[in-house]
Parts: sequence; structure tokens; C-alpha cells
Amino acid sequence: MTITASENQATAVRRNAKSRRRKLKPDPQGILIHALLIFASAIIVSPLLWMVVTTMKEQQDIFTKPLWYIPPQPRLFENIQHVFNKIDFIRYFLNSLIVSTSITVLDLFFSSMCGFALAKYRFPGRDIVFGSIIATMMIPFIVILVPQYILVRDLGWLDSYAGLIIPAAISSFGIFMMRQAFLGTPDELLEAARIDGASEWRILFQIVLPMHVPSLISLAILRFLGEWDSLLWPLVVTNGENMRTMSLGLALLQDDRYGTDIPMLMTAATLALFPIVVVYAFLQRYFIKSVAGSGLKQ
Amino acid sequence: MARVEISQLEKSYDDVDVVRGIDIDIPDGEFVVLVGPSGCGKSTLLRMIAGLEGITDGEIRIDDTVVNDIAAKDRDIAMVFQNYALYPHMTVAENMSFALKLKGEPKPRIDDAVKRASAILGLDALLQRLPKQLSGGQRQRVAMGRAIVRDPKVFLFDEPLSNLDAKLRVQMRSEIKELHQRLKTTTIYVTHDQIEAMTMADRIVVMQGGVVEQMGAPLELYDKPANVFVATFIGSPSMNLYPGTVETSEDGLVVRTEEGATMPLPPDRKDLVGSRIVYGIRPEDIVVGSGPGAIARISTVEPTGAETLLLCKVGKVSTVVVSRERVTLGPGSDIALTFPTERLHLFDQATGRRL
Amino acid sequence: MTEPMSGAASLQRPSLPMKGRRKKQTYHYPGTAWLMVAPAVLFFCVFVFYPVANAIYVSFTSWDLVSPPKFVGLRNYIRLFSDKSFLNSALVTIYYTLILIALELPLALGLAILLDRKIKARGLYQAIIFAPAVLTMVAVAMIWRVVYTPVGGLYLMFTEPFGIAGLQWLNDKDLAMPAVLIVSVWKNVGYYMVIFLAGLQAIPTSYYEAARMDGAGSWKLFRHITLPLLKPFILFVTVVSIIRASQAFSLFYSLTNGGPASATKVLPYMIYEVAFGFNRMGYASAMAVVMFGVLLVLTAIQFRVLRPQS
Repeated sequence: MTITASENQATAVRRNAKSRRRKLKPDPQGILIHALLIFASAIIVSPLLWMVVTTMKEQQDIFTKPLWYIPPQPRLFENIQHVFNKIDFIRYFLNSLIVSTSITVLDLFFSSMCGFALAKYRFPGRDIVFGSIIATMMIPFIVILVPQYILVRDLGWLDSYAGLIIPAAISSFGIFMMRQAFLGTPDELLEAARIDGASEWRILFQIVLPMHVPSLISLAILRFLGEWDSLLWPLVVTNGENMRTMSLGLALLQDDRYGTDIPMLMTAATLALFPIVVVYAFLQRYFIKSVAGSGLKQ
Repeated sequence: MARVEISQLEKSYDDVDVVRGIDIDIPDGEFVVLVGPSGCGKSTLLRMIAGLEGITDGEIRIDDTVVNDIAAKDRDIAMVFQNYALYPHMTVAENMSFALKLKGEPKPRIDDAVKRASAILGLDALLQRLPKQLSGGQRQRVAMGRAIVRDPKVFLFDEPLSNLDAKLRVQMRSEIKELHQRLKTTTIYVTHDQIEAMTMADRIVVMQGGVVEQMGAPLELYDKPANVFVATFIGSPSMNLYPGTVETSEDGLVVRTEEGATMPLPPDRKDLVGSRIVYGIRPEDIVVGSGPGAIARISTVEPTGAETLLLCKVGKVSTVVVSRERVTLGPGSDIALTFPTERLHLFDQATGRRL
Repeated sequence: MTEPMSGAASLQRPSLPMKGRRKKQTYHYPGTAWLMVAPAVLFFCVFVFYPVANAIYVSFTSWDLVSPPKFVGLRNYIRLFSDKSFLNSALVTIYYTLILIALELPLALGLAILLDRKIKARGLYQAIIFAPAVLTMVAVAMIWRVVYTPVGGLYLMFTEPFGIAGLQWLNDKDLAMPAVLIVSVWKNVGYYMVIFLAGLQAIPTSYYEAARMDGAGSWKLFRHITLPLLKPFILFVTVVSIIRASQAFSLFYSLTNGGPASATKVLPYMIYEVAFGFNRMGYASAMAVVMFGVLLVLTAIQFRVLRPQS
């Protein structure tokens, strides 16, 4: 008995040692994979890190000091002041926020409404409506840039929030995405609600929409980022300071050729990217999911 | 509580007739089961009663009111769906009170109704849970609770048990039946499972191809199926059928099958001599042992404990025998079967109708 | 009580075709449905279909936005094909689009394959590599503009070890397009990686297990399982990236301004410049219409070629 017990113990110890050794043994494939991924991550991160380092420098540091030099007295605060002296940063930021948020909210509302009808009702003209809305996804924005500008000018919306928001308020992409999401809703759920006495509108807003919050979040993220990024339309449709968006403001900032103030530029970029990076850090999984889901569903 | 009358009801989609001329009169408080194979139109019929499906022709009356053009919500009916259709983002209590809230009932009244229903169904502890936190049987109960809370004139059930496992199905079956006995609400229940129909119904409506094949109390359908379809559909295992011709022989009146096997007929059916009929007998009515009947060769023996299923062949026709005795014979051996003539079901071969 | 069987001879009525059952939507709500789609329909008519039609109309005119448009027939189109700067822009756009796809798709697929396994810090890698996709393009362009500073720019970190310095990235007409391409890849690769990763994860592992039992090695697994099953995703990503690349504007506007010497003047930039710099709406519209036509044909061909045979 005792002999077998100790024998067992011995094998157990040996087995443990073995498995430990297996864990410690370098796995060449694993190391290679990590090395490649670390290299890729470094390339992605280094310009951003360098941007942050540069916000602390003085202009002449760029040319005279090493790339990653951090001055003993960082000049971040002075650089931020330079940015604020140069452009109405807060105003641009708020404009972008107002425009992107309005577009996102409008699109969520109208796209879900339209997507719901397309997914869950049969009505004369449905297939034509769906087909033509999907077809518009193929139209590059540059094709309608000129006529849309003329239209907005004729409507008297140049240089106004209306001009920035309304022409982008509903997206075929949003309608398509919401329709696909609603297709999966069982009809019985709608029928149960109908028997319970809910109107079709109530069914949409009280039963169906709350079930599809993940899709709504995805659409909201994609739409908001897209509009936050947009440059061409604000460039064409705004004239003065007042309606300038973040992207447009930054683009014009670097148009100033009287000796580029590099630390100031990098500070402006940092200020512009900071809110997005913070939001991304917290909601990173939603961001990735919304892009992953925007592809194909099996 | 209400009487439901269905007259000359028709439904077609484009060119396909799904329901063709159905008449059913359901008195107040009755538990009616619509049963039939899939695609027979039973669900469509139920959904027309619910107001979820338009009516092509004919009439549905609930309590003497024609409801053809009345919206589902105004018909005062409640429906339990196969997949329960619980609102996933609402708690059990919210699911049950939704209809009353929409009706604008005062809150104390709603709470009361929910409390009463949850007590009946044993849902008290689950009221604050979401549907996804419930088991299949519990979801089923919530779906019923949602119906009870409204105290409707008619309960409609659309295959409510088919998503449950076998054991739970038996349990829920008796729960629904008890519930009906307690509430006495007119109930229309759709299923494809004839055992559910037999065990639960006051009256069964057997449907096929959009028409009613037979209506009646469960045992009436079992004992006197109106045609071959009902004969095979009701009862499990299903009735043995032998097509053949009626002749007189030295043993008296018999049916001769195509391969020449003969089966005994009662002497009072001389009127059938020469006609081509389908000779039917239920597996549980066949007696193992010699007597007037046929010789069969056993192909499989399936003991289930209480009884033994013998799958055998009479000539080339497969025959199932249910024996309460334990059978010691194995596959390949021949066995004598007695067909008690008072237990026969005879059908016309051409029309399928009972003779 | 009993309804006689109506059909003759049949013992079994044919069960109804399933078609009838599938049409679930029943009581129709055409009024409500139309109310729900009406805003979108109205919107698309006013802000998309009408402008498209108008673009085609304007492309047959000469119009400076001030005096009324003058119908000139096909003159804009005829002039286009002998306009060297248009042809240059078309070539630059094609060059940018093709090289970008050739670079970013394999890279994205490679990274997705690296990440399609249980490894430590997988989520972190994914989050980092995807990050540029959410960053504002104009700000990204600003950063890179500084990265490309001939003296003191971050690019030196990668070139100095090879003894290369003082590159005029944005002022050398042979380096400007590569400079733009690097930024584009940097920004997009994570985006496509995430889509590919979703595709890879949709492939059931049982396929790999079965193939491995049949004796397939890694390359064969990739070639005969991964690639064919990923085909719809590859098609999707190719189409999306062609559309995105051919429409890219912000990066060119804020990184190179189309320069130097029009080396990076892609079509959208040129159309913008012709329309709003030179006020030649008709000519700009003609360019846009031609570009649209080419894109449509290209997309149609892609669907033909890459559609999974089934």
C-alpha cells in the first residue's frame, strides 16, 4: 500500500514537472506570432505616441533634439494656448458634436422606421422602395456633390446647421442594417402585441426597438464616426467661422503656411483625438463589434 | 366566456386555398382541439379566429357578433404561441400586465389581475425575472399567465407544447386541462399531436387539406372514424389497413387481399359482397392466438413493459399488433392472429368513407 | 357532425404547399407601412435621386453658378477624353486604389489569421490595430504630415538605420503617393482585419478538424478550407475598399493638397477643385458621371468574378 502510494506520488510529481516544463518550453510558433503582432502594434502606436511627445516640445526641439526627446519643462500648456489663440477650437468641436449627434439621432429614428416597415410588412411598392434604397449605396458622394450643393443653396441652407445636417440625415446603409436586424424578429412577437392591443407604432417603439439596442448602438457608432470624420461636405457648404466643424477647422489650420508651428499642430491633433480615444478606450468592444457586424452575416 | 361560430370559412393566398369552407360551432366553455398534419390549415383557422389573418370568405362570430372586420385587439381573445412570444425586454410581471396597461386599466386592478394569475400558475417567485432567465416550462406558464390576466372570452393555443421535452409536455398538458376546468373559458387549441388532442379535448376537429374530416368527442373519433384518414390519424400505433375485395368462402364472409390472404367479416355484411373495401383493425384489438384471422410473420418485437409491440407482415402488408401478454416468439417466426369481427372498421376503397 | 370526404379515390389529401404558410404577414397595414417608409422615400427622392438626375443634366451644360446653365451637349464629355489632367487624375486614382488594395487586404487577412486563435492579449492587439479606424482622418493627416517632416520627422526612426534621411516625402512627386498609401494602410488595415476576423470566426472548427483528420497541413487547410469559405468576405472587403479608396478625399486634401505637380490629384479632389475652385459645374459633373459609370461596371464585374459558385 505505502509503496504504491509513494509510487503514485512520484509519478504525479514527475507529471507535474513535465507539464511545467512543457509550459516553460519556448513555443517557437507562439513567439513568432506575438513578435509579429507586437511589431504591428508598435507601428500603429508610434505616430500617436510621438504626437503626444511632440505636444511638449518647442518648435526648435523638432530639428535639434532626438525624436523622442521630452523637454524637462514640457510646453504642453503653452501649445494648447497657441491652438486656442489660432482657432476657435471649442466652437468647432461643439459644431461637430451638434452636427454628428443630430445626424445620428435622425438616422436611427428614420432608418429604424423604414427598416421595420421593409422587414415586417407587405405593401404595394415595398420591393421597389427597398431595391432603390439599396441601389443608392452604389452612388459615390462625389457624384451628387455639385447638385446637392446647388439644392442646399437654393433652399437657403448654406452655412447653416440645416445645410450640414439634413442632406445626411437618412442613410441607405442605416435602413439596410436595421432591416436585416428586424428580419430576425419572430412574427409571433408582433402578433402577441397586436392581440394585447398595441398599435403598429407602439409595437415598433415599445417592443421591437428595445430588443435591437445592440444594432442601434452599432449603427450609432458607425454613423457618428463617419459624420465626425466628414470633410468634403462641410468644406463646400460652410463659409465662415461659425459653422466650421472640427475636421474642417483642423484642415484649414494646417493650410496656414507661414512657418508651420509643429508642436501647435500636434497639440491641436491631440486635442481633437483625445475625446475619441477616451470613448474608444471604454467602448472599444462595441466599436469593433459594429464594424465586424457591418460585414456579412453568415 | 363565449360561443364561437364559424360558418363557411374560406382562406386563400393568391391561388392557394388553405381553408375551404369550414363550419364549426363551439358552445360556451368548450375545449376544442383542432388537429391534423402540418399544412392542413388548422393554424390558419386559429389565426383567423384570432384576427391575425384576413378572412377570404365566410363568417366568424364570437358571442353572436361577426368579428370578420374587428381587429385582433378588440375581439377579446388571448393567444398562446408555440414559441411563447414573450417580450424579451420585459419582466414576467410586465409581460403579463402589458395588455391591461394598454387598455388603460387602473394600476391596482392590473396588479390584482397579475397577482391572481401568477397565483394560479405558481409564478409568484418569478414575477421580476426576464424571460431569458426562465426554463421552457416556466415560459410556457408565463405565456398562459399573459392570456389569463386579460380574462378573455376565448383562449387560443397554437401548438403551445411542441417546444417542450416529452416529460414536461405531459405535465403541461394536464395543467392546461386543469386550468380550463377551473376557468371554464372557451378554448380552441391547435396541435399536430393526436395524443394531446385525445387527452385534452371535449371535442376534436380533425382537419386535412383545408377541410374538416370529422368532428366529435375523442372516443367517438377513436371508435367510429368517419374515413380512412381519421382512422389512421387518431390512435397510436396507427390502425392496420388491408385493401381487398369482399367474397363469400367456406369460412363465411371474408375480405381477400391482393396477395390472397383472407380476413373474417361479420356475417351481417352480405351487402358488401363484391365491393372493394379497406379492412381496418386497430393494433390493440388484434388478439394473438388462433381463431378467425390471419397468419403473420414477425419481423420485430418491441417490448415497452406494459405491452409488447409486434411488427409483422400479413402477406406483404405490414401489421402492428399490440399485445398485453409477454410474447416469447422472436423475429422470423409465424404467429396466428385473431381479428374480432366486432372491432372492425370497414371503408370504401374508392371514397375512403366508413361503410 | 361528420363532414363527408369530398375528394374521390384518394386516401390522403395532398397536404397544402408550404408556400401558403410562409407568407406570414397577414392582416396588412399598407397605410402604416407607407407612413413608416415615407420620410425615407421622400428624403432619397430629394437628396439622392433628384441630385443624381441633376448631375447628369448639369454634365451636359456649361455653368459657373452665376449665369444660367448653357446646354452644350456632349462637349464636356468629348473634352474630358483629351484633357491630360483628367486622364492623369484617373490614372492616379486607379494607381492609388489598386496598390492600396494589394497592400491592405493581404495585410489585414494576415493579421486576422494571426489573431484567429487563443493567444494572450488578443483583445489588446485587436483594439490597438483597429484604433486608427476610429480616428479623425484630418487629424491623422496632420500627424503624418509631421511624421514626414524631412528633418526631425518620425519616419527617420525606420529609415535612419539604413542610412536614409532627409526624404522630401510630400514634395517629391515619386514619394508623395507612397506617403499617402502608407497612411491609408495604417488607418484601414485594422478595419478590414476586424471584418476578416469575423469571417474567420464564422468558419466552424469542425471543418478544420475533419480536414486535419484527412491529413491536410496548414497550407492546405488555408488553401482549401479558409480561403473558399472566406470568399464572400473577400468579395465584400474588395468591393468596400474599392469604393472607399476611389472616393478618398479628406486624406488627399489635408495631406498633399493633390500635389506635388498633381502626383496625388485623385478624381474626387479634381472634381472638387474644378467645381468649387474654378466654378465649372458642368465639367465637374461630367467627370463625376464618368467616374460613377466606371465604378458601377467595376463592381458588377467583381460580383461576377468573385461570387461563390453554388
